[in-house]
Amino acid sequence: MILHIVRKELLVNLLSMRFLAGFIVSALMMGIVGYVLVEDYAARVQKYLADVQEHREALAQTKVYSTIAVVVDIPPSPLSVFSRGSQDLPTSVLVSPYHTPSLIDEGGGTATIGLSGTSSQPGNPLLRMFSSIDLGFVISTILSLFAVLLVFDSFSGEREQGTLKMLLSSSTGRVHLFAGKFLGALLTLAIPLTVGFLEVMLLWALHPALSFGGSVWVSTGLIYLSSLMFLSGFLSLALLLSLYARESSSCLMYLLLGWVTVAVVIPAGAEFIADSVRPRGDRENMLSESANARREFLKVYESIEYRQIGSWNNVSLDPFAGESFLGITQEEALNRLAYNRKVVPMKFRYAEERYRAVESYAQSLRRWGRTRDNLMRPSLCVVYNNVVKAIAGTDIDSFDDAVQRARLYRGAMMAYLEPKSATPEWFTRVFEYPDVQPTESNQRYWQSLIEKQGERAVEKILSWDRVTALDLASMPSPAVGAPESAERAAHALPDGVILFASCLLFIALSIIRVLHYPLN
Amino acid sequence: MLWTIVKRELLDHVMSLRFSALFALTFLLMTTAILDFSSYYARERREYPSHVEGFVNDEGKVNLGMIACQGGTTVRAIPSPLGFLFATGERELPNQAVMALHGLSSLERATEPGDIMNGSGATDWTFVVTVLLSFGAGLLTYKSISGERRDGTLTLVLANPVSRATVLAGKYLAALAALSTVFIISLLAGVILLEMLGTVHPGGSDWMKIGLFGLLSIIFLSVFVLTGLLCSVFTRGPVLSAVAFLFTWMALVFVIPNLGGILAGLTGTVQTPLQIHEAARTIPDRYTLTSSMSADQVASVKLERESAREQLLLEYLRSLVHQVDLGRDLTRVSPASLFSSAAERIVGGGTFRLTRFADNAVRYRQGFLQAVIEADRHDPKSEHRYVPWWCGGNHFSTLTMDPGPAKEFRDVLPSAGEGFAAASWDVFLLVLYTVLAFAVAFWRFARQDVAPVPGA
Repeated sequence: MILHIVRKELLVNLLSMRFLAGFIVSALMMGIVGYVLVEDYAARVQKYLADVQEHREALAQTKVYSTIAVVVDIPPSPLSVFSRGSQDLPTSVLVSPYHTPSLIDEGGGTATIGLSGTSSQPGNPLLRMFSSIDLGFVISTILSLFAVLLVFDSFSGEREQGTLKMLLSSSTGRVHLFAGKFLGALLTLAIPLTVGFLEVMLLWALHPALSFGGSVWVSTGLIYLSSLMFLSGFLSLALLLSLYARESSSCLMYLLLGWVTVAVVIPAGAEFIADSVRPRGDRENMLSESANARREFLKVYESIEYRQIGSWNNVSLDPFAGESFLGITQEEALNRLAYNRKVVPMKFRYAEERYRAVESYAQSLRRWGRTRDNLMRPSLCVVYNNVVKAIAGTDIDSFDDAVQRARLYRGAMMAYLEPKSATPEWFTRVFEYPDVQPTESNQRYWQSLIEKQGERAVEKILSWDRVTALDLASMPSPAVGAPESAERAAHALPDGVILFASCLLFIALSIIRVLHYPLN
Repeated sequence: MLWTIVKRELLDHVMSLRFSALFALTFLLMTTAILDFSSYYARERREYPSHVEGFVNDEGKVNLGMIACQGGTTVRAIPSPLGFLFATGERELPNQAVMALHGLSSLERATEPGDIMNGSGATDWTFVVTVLLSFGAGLLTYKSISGERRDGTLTLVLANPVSRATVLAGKYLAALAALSTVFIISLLAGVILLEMLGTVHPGGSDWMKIGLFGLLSIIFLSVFVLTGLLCSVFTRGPVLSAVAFLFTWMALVFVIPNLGGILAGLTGTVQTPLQIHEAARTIPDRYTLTSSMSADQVASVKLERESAREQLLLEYLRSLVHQVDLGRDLTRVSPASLFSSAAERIVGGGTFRLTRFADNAVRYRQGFLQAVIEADRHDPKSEHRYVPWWCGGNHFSTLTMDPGPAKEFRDVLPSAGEGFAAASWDVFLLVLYTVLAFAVAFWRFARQDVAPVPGA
């Protein structure tokens, strides 16, 4: 019997004007948005690959250990088609002995318009004037509106026309009737949704530069399922209201007012309430703490006197970064080593101290963000968007994870670098007298020079360009790639459970109401 | 007779549940926007640098010997005290200009640590009007004709000595009056709240802008009131007119304005940062130096190069703004995008403000350069030659002097009049839409069969 009702409802829906209109709007919207975002993703992949290449080359060019800096690039998520996430999230994390990555590092100015060609965005930064939309937005606004439009009159309308009595006088149970209407509408909605997903998959498949592994398809499947769950939640909510309304058109309008509240009002107020319930930490405090740490560091740093005893040709020094010397004499190198034994551990410690000051502020921000998100959770749309964002890996937590991984990697990197800081290769590779602790590669290099140009050729090496790069093969390298889809799904679990539970709740409430529904 | 209808309709609206619901929501959202903005504005004001850093030292004096090789001076756009009216771009677009004395080098967003946590942007009054109140317009009107027709009261109304135009006008005016009441009371409450909080001190021009914004909103809402009436006139019953209104509303408020950015990105092409970088690198080829040039000529060629770089940057900015405008033009069919671009100009926000800020920054730089050159004239030891990126030597004075008022950067916001002039085309279109919609609605209503349709 249920199947019978489902078929009838489905047919009625499919043949209606509203289905046609809604289908066209959503298919068009999803097609256009999908196309633009797939192109956008392809452009960002290009940029990512170019960045990785550039950073790898820069690292391979490193001449001394003290200037090693690894830039960990974060790959764009192919699922950003479904949820773009924040556009302000940095695309890379810097790891160096003097810098511990943290969630709120200053990654340079965003939305830069300049001539230096270093903008983080490939396109027009001013296009942010328009709200950025993704498939998650289309589903959570347009398809949810569509859901409301499909079922707002399914009970009140039949009652107005008097067909409800007729239906219930046959052997159909009320619960069956409800289930039939619900499933019929859900199947109807699944059509534009599926078409939208198919459009995206087709775009992926047809794009010459893109190819994906299995985990992307699994995640897409998960997003599809949660979209269905979200839409059934909205459907059952709409059915519930339709069961309470006296007149179908007013039911529709109240539903929509409710929808506006859920979709718009709740997210708008949450940030403000979160500010008063759990204020963000004091930014000034963080800044002054970090400035204090810097002052303290500089005071001690400058109090350690450095007495130069030999000469060098070309030097670069920075208390907050590495140092490099060219053509340094042997005694000066030994002198510098003795000095560095005191100074370098201090530099490392300072990086940690600054990190602590920043991190306590970051913690307060995380807490504030969690409060805000919780305040927004009564909105079904927000819960749904959270799920999609988490599965797509474009939420702030995913970025935070990437930063934490970079921080762990820094530990491994420091374990590798600390012993090196006690060798001359920490700051130089070319000595005036090549017999001071020569490495194998340098020895070969000098040998070739001496053969070609005679004994004193080595001294003439004044330019870093001519110094061979370090062999960094044994240095640990950061884990590349995005987290597994299972890990992302685990992120999405709490919100997924809320989505599922509220869906069940609305269905249960509707069934209770159906059983007591007055027929007159 | 018109007033009788208006009065009755208005009373009907005001007593209805949907009116109260709409009122509560609007009130809530508009005051929340004020509270949110007030704390944001206080934070921004605190962090707004009280004076320009870079060209002048702590005592407010300029070292003429060093000035030519100082880059990286930044001036910051003053936070708009009216961000609660129109917030788009207020927290995202570039808000500082980086410059040397001989040329602007970039525009960027001063990032604060913690910006990363910011949500999807602030709720402003423009948003409340475009989304909530436009929906409210439909809520009040969708069944004003179709409902009366179904109930059979329309025949009764028209049995009186009253023309159909009067009935339609009465319904239109009543719905608009009800909506305006909701809007204006919330607006006044918001403004009073703003005054009570005391963080923002709007000046005379700002009050003017708030007033213009209110007027603009009412014109915009009148378009949506008429959209509701149109749906009501063209359909058989209230259910159909509700559905029709919703589709129209969805298309006008969500679909079309959101397509703007996408369409702009697809149709307008701008140069990528790398291409601009390349273009900037070729500038010295156009202004070549030869060994036969005198020192004065070298200095002037170098200055030309710098000003060419600045021009390139400003052109690039203009092309970016142009692309945004293109996106706007493509979505002008929708009154919602018309409204938000008019609001942007009247309030003085978004790209309108950004271009203005860039102009202000350039003017400040030029004024400062003039003052510096003027000061150099009084130094007998100088050869009066300003050479970009050249310090030391005897080209230029090495004195330290106070440049006077030229050192203060004054970021002048566009005035209400200028804003309105820039928005006049949008306002005109909105009025045109109103007139057209009313004409179509009347045309249809004048020849409509008023007998109830069975089963509608």
